Amino acid sequence: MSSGTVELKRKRLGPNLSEKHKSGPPIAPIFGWDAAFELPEIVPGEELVAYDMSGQPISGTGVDEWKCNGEIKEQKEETERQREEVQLYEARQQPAWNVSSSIGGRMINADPVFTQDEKFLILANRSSISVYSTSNSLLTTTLIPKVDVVKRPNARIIAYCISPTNPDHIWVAFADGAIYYINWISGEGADEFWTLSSNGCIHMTVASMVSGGRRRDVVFATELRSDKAWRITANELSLPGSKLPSASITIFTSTQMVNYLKSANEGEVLVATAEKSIMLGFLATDKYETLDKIRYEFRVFDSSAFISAIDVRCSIPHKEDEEDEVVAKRKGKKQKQKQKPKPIVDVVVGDAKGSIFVHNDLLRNLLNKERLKQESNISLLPQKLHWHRQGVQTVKWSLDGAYIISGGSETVLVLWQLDTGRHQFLPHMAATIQNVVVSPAGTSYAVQLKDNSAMILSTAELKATSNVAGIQSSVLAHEESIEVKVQRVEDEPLAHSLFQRTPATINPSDPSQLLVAVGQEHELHPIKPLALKRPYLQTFDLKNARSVGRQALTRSNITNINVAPGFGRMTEPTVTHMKLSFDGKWLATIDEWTPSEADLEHILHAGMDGIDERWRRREVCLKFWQMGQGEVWELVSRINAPHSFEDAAGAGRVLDLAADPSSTRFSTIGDDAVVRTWVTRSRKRDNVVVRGRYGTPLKNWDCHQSASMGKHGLDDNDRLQPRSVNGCVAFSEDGSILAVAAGGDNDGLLHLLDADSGTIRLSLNKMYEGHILQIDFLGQDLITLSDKVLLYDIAANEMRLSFGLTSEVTKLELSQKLEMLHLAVDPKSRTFAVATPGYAHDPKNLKTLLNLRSLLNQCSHLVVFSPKQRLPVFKQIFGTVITALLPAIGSEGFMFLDSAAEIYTCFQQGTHVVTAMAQSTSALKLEGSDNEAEDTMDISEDEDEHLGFLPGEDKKIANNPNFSFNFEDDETPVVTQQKLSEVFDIGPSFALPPMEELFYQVAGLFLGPPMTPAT
Amino acid sequence: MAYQIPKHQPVKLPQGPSPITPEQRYWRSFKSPQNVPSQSPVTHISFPPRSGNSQVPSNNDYFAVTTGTRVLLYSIRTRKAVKTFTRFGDIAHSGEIRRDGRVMVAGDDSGKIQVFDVNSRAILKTWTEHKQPVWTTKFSPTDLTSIMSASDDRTVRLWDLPSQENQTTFVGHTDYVRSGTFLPGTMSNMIVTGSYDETVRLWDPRVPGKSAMIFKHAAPVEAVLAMPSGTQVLAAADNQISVLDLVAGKPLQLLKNHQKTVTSLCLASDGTRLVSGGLDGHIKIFETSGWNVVSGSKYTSPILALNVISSGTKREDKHVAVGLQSGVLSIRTKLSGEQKIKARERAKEMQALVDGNIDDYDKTNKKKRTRGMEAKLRGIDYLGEGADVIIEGSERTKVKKETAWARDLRQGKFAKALDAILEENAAHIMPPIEVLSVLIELRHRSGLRVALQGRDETSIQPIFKWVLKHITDPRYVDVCVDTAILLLDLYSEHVGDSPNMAKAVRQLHVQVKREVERSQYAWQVKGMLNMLMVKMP
Repeated sequence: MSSGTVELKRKRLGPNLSEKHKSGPPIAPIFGWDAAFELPEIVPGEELVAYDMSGQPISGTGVDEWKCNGEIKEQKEETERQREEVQLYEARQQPAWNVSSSIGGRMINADPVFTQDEKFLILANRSSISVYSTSNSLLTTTLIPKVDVVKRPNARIIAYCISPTNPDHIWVAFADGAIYYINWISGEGADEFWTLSSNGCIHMTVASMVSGGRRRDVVFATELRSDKAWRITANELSLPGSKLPSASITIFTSTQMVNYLKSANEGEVLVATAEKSIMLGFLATDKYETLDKIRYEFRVFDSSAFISAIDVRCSIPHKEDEEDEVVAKRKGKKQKQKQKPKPIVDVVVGDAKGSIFVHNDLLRNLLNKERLKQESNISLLPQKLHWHRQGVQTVKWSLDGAYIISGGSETVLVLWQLDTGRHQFLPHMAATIQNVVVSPAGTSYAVQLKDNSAMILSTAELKATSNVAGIQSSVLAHEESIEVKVQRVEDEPLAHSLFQRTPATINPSDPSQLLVAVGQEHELHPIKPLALKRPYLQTFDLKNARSVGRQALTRSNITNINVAPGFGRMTEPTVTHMKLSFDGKWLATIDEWTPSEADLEHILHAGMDGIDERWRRREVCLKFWQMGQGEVWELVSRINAPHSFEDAAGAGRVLDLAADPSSTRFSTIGDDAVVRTWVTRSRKRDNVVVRGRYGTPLKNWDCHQSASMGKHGLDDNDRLQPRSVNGCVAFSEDGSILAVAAGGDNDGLLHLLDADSGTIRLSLNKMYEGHILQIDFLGQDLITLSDKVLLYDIAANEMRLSFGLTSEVTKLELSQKLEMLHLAVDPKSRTFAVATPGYAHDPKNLKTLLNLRSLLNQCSHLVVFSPKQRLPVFKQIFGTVITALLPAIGSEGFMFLDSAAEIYTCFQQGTHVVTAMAQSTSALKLEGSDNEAEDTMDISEDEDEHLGFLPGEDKKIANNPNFSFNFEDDETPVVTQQKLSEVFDIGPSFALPPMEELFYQVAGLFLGPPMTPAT
Repeated sequence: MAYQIPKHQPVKLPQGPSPITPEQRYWRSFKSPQNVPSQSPVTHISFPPRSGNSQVPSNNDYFAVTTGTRVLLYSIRTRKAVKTFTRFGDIAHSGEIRRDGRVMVAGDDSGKIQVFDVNSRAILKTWTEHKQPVWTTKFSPTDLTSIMSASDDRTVRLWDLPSQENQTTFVGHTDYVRSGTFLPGTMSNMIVTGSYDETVRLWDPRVPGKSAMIFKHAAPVEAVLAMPSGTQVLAAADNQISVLDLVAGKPLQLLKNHQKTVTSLCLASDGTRLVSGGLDGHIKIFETSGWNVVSGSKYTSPILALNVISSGTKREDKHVAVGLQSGVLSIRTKLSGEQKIKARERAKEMQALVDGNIDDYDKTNKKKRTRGMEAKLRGIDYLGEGADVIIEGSERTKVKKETAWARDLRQGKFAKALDAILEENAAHIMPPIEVLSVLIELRHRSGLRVALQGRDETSIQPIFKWVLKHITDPRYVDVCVDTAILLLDLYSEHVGDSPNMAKAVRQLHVQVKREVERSQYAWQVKGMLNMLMVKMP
C-alpha cells in the first residue's frame, strides 16, 4: 500500500467573489456559442433572421416599421443607428431584470443524518444542507456552503456527516473534492473549505479517533486518482484555531471505483465497496502520534453481484467468546496476547440482484482463515436473505444487531429478525426507498425516498412522526445507479433525447401555490431518457419551499405490486396538460395511457410495428377537478376520449389545453383537428338542479361547441406518425377570441375564432414557420412560437416582432421542440418569455455522439421580450434544462422549473416578488431568537430547547438576572368568573358605573398585578 | 406513512340517455305489493292529513279505503284490513278519518252523510240534507268538528258535528261537485271545490252567496288538491293538471303528462312531491318546484284513487296505496333499513328450511350473539374477554374490507382474480360491469395474457361465455375483442381436441360475423344520410 502525505490548506473565498455568486442559478460558462436568439447586431449573416409577412428576409430594418402588407421601408443607414440603440438599450434595460436564487432542489442520495439528541434531521440537496426539526418537520435552518460557480462548475454535495468529536459541526464533501466543516447551529464555516483531491471525491465518512492522548476527526474519503484508479485516504484537517497542520495519507488503492465507505468503532474498522468487491480494513497500528503513521490492513473479497448497499456493526467480544484464541494458543503460536482483541465486525451487504448477505464476525473469520489455512473448517459462507425483487437500495443494522432494515424499489420497508428469520413489512411507501438510517438512540428510523421526500418513522409502531418533502418533479441523474448493471426488462426509451416538459401551473387564487404533475420515477437517464409517467399532482408552497400536498390525478400503482407479469414495469397514465381556471377554482387535466408494446405482441403480424394497434388502445381522459373539502381536488367530470376520430377506434391525443382568462371555460385541440370548448353546466336531473351536501348546485362540464380545423385528422397516414403534427389554442385576455393553429404543412395558417359561437372570424397566413409549438395572447398581441418567435398585433393587423431561432434549435425533431421550447406570457409586466434548449458546450468539443445526446450537456436560454421593444429586455443562459416556464402570477415576471428540480423567478428589479425566493433561509427565526430572546415573551417551548444549544445564550442568561424571572412573570393572569362578576353584578344595569370605569376595571383584572415601582 | 389501499373502483361507463335517477330508485323501492281484490272499484283512499299543530299527538293507525258500499279501515303498520263499515244505503263515497283516528265520515249515493265512531262502528250522526249523491266529505284540518261536503246537487255545505243542520251552504256551481278540500293552515276556513261545470271555486264562509274566486277549466274537474303553502291549488281536469295560484288569481302551469283523465291527486314526501293517478293506469310523481315528472309507474287497470300514506314523526312515505277500477287495492311499501334486514333474515331462514340445512343456519346465527346477549347469559357484569383498551388519538377511517379478488388483483394473482369474478354461484352473480372493470384493470396491469393462459377445458368456459354474451355491447366490445383475440392466440391449437372449445369458438365466430354485418348496415345508413346532409350546415 502506498502512502504519501499531502498538505492541505483551507482556502477562504474572497468575500466579494462569493457574494457575487451567492444568489443566482448556476450560470454556464460563456463561450462563443451565443444565445439561441440571434440579434441582428451581434451575428451578421444568415442567422440574422427577420422576416416580414411575405417571408422575405428584411435586412437591418427596425422591427417596428414592418408592415404586414409587405410595405418594407428600406433604410440603409439603419444599422448604425441600431448599434447605438442597442448599446443605449443595454445600458438602460439590462439591469432591470434579475433572476432570483433558487428554491426547491432535490435531496441527494446520501444517508440522512440525525443530530445526537434526535431533535433535528439533516438533509442535503445539490448545494445546500437543510436542518429540519424532527418534532414538527419544519425547516429550522439552511446552510449554503459558498461555492464559486464559475470556478467549480460541477461542485455538488455528495456526502455529509456529523462530526463525532464535535456534534455541533458537520462535514460536507463536494464532488470536486472540497470539504467543508460547518457549525450547523450558527452556520459558521460555510465559506471555507479544504480541497482533498483535485480529481473529485466520491464518498466520505468521518471517525473520531484517539491517539497520542488527542481526539480528532479523521476524514476518510474515496477519491479518483489522476491515473484512472481510486484510493481511500485518511485525512486530518487543521481546524480553524488549531496549530496542527493538516495531514493526509492514502490507505488503500483500487482499480475499481470505490463508491461507498463506512467506518465503525471509532475508525478501527472501515468497509468500502467497489463494484462487486467488499474491502474490509482494520487499524493495524495502535499508536500513531500523527496521522501519517496510521496504518490500515485491508482484506478484499468478492461478491457475486454488484453491491448496492452495505452496513457494518461493531461490538466488543465477550471474554469467554475467545475460543479461537484458545485454539490458537494450544497450537503453540504465542501471539497477540498483549494486543487488544479485535472487535466483532458484522457486515450486511445488499446487492443489485436483491439478495442480502449477513457476514457475522467477518473480520475474525477472515483473519483466522488466513492463519489456519490447513484446517479450513471456518466457513465464510454468509447468511443469505432474499426477498427483494430488485436491487437492495439500502440496508442497515438495528442498534442491537438483532434486526436488519432494508428497502428498495418495491417501496416496502423490510425488517428482518435475524434470530427467527421472520420479516415484518411496511408496504406501500410512495416511492423507491433510497436510504434508511437508525437514529442514535434507536427510537426512530429516517427513511429517504426517491420522490424527494424523507420521513421519520417511530421504531415501535412504524408510524410517521414527521415528513419532509421537496418538489417532486423529475431531475437528470448525475450518476448511473447500480441497478443499471443488472439486466432487466426495460421500457423503450424515447426516440429522441429530450427532457419532457413538466405540466405546472400557479394557483391564481393563491400565488404561492405551484401545482406540478409528478410521478414516481424521478431521475432521468441523461442519454436514454424514458417517457415519464406522471399520475400525481403535487402542490408546492413557494413561500416555504415545501410540499403541502400530493394527490393522484389518475390511477396509480402505489399499492400494487409494481412489476408486470412480463417483468416490465406496470405503466401508469401520464398527465400531459394541466390548466387552472382564471379563478383557481377548477383544474382541468389531460392524461394519456398507451399499453406497452409487449402486451400486444400477439396481434402483430410480421413486419408490423404495432404502433397502430397500441393507439387503438390508447386511453385519453379530460378531467375537471374542483377544490373540495380538505384542500383536495375532487373529480367533477371525466371525459373519455375527448378527441376521438370519427371513423377509427382509439382515442386521439389532446394537443393543447387553454384556459379562458376571463371566465370558467377551457378549450382543447386534438389529433382530429377539432377545437372544443368546455363549459360548466348545472347538473340537472329531470330538469331539477341537483344540489350537493351544502346546498350548492352541482356542476358538470360539457362540450359547449366544437369546430373542425382542416382535415389532417382524417388522413390515416398522419395518424400513424406520432407527433407529426401539433395544434395550439389560446384565449385572448378578455376571452372573446380563440386563436387556433392546427399544424401541418399549411403555410403558417392560424385561425381566430369567436370564442362564443365557434365560427372562424379571421384566418391569417404565415403566422408561424415549421411546426407551431405554442401560441398565446398578450393584450391585443398574438405571440406564436415555432421556428420563429412572432408577435402580431391583431387590432392593428400588423406584425410587430419577429425573431428567428438558430439552426441549433430549428433542426431539432418536433418532439424535442415540443417538450423543450417554452413560451410564457406575463400580463402584469406586459412581457413574454421564451426558453429554448442549447448545448452547454460548443458542439464541436463534444466529440462523441453520446455526448451530443446527453442531456447533461444541454443548457437553456431564457429570453424575455417586451412588445414595446425591438430587442429582448433580458436574456440569460442556464446550465440546466428548463422544464416549465410560467408567469409568476401575483408578481411581475416569470418563474421556471429546471431539470435539477429547482425553481427560479425572473423578475424586474424594483417589483415586489410575491413568490420571493428568500424564504429558504427560514433560519431567521433561530437567529432572531438569539438576539431578541430577552424581548420576546412568547418563546415557545420548542425554542426554549434551542436556547440550550446556542453557545452564546448560556452567557446571556447568566448575565441577565431578570431573564429567569421573565419566564414566571409572563404567564397571563388568571381571571376567575367570580372576579368578573364582582365588576359587573353590582346591581341593575342602570345602576352600573360608567362604561369607561367598567372598562378599566376589567382591563385591570387582565393586566395582572400592578408594576411595583423600582426601589 | 404507508399509503392506504384504496377501494377498487368499478369502471363508469357512459350513461345512457335516461339513467335511473335517485328519485326513480326511491319510488321503485316501494316494493312487496299487496293486492286486495274486492267486488267493486276502489273509489277513495284517504288517511288523516297531517295536523297543523305538530304538538297534537296523532295516534291514528288507520287509512280508509272506500269500495262499493263499504268503507274498510286498514292498519298502516300491518297493512291488514281491521274494520269494515257497511251500513250504507247505497254506494259509499269518500270515507275519511278524523286526524285523531276516532271518528270517520262518509257520504253515499243516496245523499246521506254518516259519521261513525271508529271503535264501535256506531253511527254518530246522519245528515240527509243533500238530495243527490255526496261525493266528497272532509274534516277540517284545524277544527275537529267541522266537516265539508260536496254533492251532485251542485251545493257545497259546511257542517258542525254537534248540530243537526248545516252551517253554511255554498251555491254557485252549475253541475255536479265531485271534489273539494279545505285550504291548509290559517286559511282553513276556506274551501276549494271542483265541479263538472268545469270550474274550480274558492269559497269563503264570510262571503255568503257567491264564490270568492273562480277558475275556469276546459273539462270537468275530477280532483282538487291544496298545496301545503296555502297559495297554490291543483286541479285535475280531463288529462291535465292545472296549477292555480290563489294570490295572483291565475293558473301557473298546466301539466299534460297523463294520457287519460286524471282521477286523483295527492302529496308525498312531506309535501314536496305530487302524485297523480289517471284512467290510463299510470301514476306520475312530480316535483313541486318546477313541476317536472321525476318518476312514475304503470298499473294494470285504470286508477280511481290513490294516496301515499306516511307515518312516523318525520312523515316518511310508507305505502303507496292505489285503488283500481278492477276493484284491486294495491299497497306497495317501503321497508325501513331494519325491516329490510329482518325480511332478508327471514328469507334466508326460509331458504335454509327449504334446503334442509336449517341446523347450519342456526349454528351460524348463534355466533352473532351480541354483547347484550352475552351479558344476559353470563351476568350483567360480564365485559367480554378482558376489557377493551382504547388508544386515543389514532383514529383511522374505517376502510371497507377489500374483496378477495381485488386483493388478488393488487398482488398480481391475475388468474385467481379473474376466476373469482367470473365464478357463478347461485346466490351471487357478479354484475357484468364488475367483470368489465376487472378485465380493464388486467389490461392496465399487462396481466390479461397471464390471467387467461394455462387454463383447461372447463376453466376456460366461463370466460368464453362472458365474452360471447357481451361482445355485441358497444361499451364492452373493446375489451371483449382483446380478450377474444388473446383466447384464440392462446388456445387455437387445442380447439380440435375439445368439442366444448370448438363449440365456443364457433359461437364466437357466428356472433362476430353477425355483428360485422350489423355495423356494415349502419355504415350504409350513415353513407346515405351523409349524402342527404351534404348541403346542410
